[in-house]
Amino acid sequence: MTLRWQGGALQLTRPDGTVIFNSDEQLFHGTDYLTGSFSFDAQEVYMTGPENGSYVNTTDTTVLKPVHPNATHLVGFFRRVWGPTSTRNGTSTVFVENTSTWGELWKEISGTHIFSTAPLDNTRTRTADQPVMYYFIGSIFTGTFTIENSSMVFKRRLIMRASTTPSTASYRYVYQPSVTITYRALAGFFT
Amino acid sequence: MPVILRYAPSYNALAVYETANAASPADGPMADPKANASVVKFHSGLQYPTLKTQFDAVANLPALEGETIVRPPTTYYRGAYHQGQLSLGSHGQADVPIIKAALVNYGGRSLLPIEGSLIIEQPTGQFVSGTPLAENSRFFRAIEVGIAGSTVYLNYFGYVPAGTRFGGLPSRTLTVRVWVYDWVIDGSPTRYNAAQPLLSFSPTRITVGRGQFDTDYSYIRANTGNENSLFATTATTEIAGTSGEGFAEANWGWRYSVDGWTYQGQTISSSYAAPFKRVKLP
Repeated sequence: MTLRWQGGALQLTRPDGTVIFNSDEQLFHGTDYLTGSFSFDAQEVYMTGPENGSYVNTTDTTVLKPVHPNATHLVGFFRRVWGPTSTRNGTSTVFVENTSTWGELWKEISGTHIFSTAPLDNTRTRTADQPVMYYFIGSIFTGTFTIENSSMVFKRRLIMRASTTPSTASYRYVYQPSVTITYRALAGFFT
Repeated sequence: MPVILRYAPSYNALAVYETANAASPADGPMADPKANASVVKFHSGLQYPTLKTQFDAVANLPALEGETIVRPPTTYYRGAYHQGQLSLGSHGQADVPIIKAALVNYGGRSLLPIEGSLIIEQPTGQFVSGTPLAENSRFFRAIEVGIAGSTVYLNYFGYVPAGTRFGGLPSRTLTVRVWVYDWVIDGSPTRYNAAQPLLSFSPTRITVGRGQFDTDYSYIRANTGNENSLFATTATTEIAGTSGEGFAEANWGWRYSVDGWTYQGQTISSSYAAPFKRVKLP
């Protein structure tokens, strides 16, 4: 084990030469423990015929907790618990999302997570028994935990759009269940 | 500025920091290292996540092809979505620890950090005729890392588009490197022991900060000139465009881009690249 100054830097190395500490480098250290939870309400879009429908296009930021002004990064985990799904007019919810079996799963918090998606079929002329095909991704819900203005925030991006359906058929819905998100994170920075 | 190693009983702290006059060092970094972050290199009062263990695990992703739906007189070849999770091993901690992970030797990268929902590929399915599907470029397969109880999991999910019958997404064997940090995120560093001294030397080991910093362990380093991974600073995926309405096809797109690892799909004209910090993990 060696503790020495070399080239103006303080170095701590193991006998095999592995550097444990070098004052010319940086170490990540934690500044703030962050725990809590927040929720989003359920949302729904629908098509009333082959040409008309509702849609969602949302970008928003949820401010969660203050952090040290120098904090730049988050490590830790979050998990989500979905509310109940829905059916409407005999048409099942088509929003494809991770199943309830993942509700107890903690996911590593870094970067952007895709929370849910749904396929889109924009076939203009379709028969009543034609299944919804997978031509596009019609709906997506992404979330990013990050630090902005000395706060831990959650940035949500939500796009929802239902597939077309014959005018004689039931409305086709895409239903985004409510979701509660719980986080356990450590904010910090490199010095 | 010179770098000093200083123990100050009045602050009950040991620190390494830059100071203009080593003979009469400033007290600020000793008293409040977070407020003097620009000069502090180490402080026994700061909390450094400590690597407890690391391991490589093999995960076998299944192949995915489309569905065949027969509704006489028509047979539809529909796309499909799949998801699942694969056990990577035990993290060995009592509660939720800090974990980082990366793919080993994938896509030309010796280590590909798993930050957020990492897009690892897009479908390559074909019609029966052998013609590649135009829709392939809109869909993806992604992976994430999670834990449930003491088990570390690799989550996967992805689409193949309508019409896919052959080779939508192939089976894949991934090697995942997992770093587990000895720190339960509840405010209690497990390495801290009030009974230990601030600084302890032995022929084979040095501990600082009552056990928090220990040469038997490794830490998250940066600015080493030998970084092998990264921490994303914010979003790794951009969703650009709008949902549209009526008959129009989806007029938005997605783009995952971190350190040159880029996938995008649908309608998007973006050059988004996620900001990140390069780090050295053991």
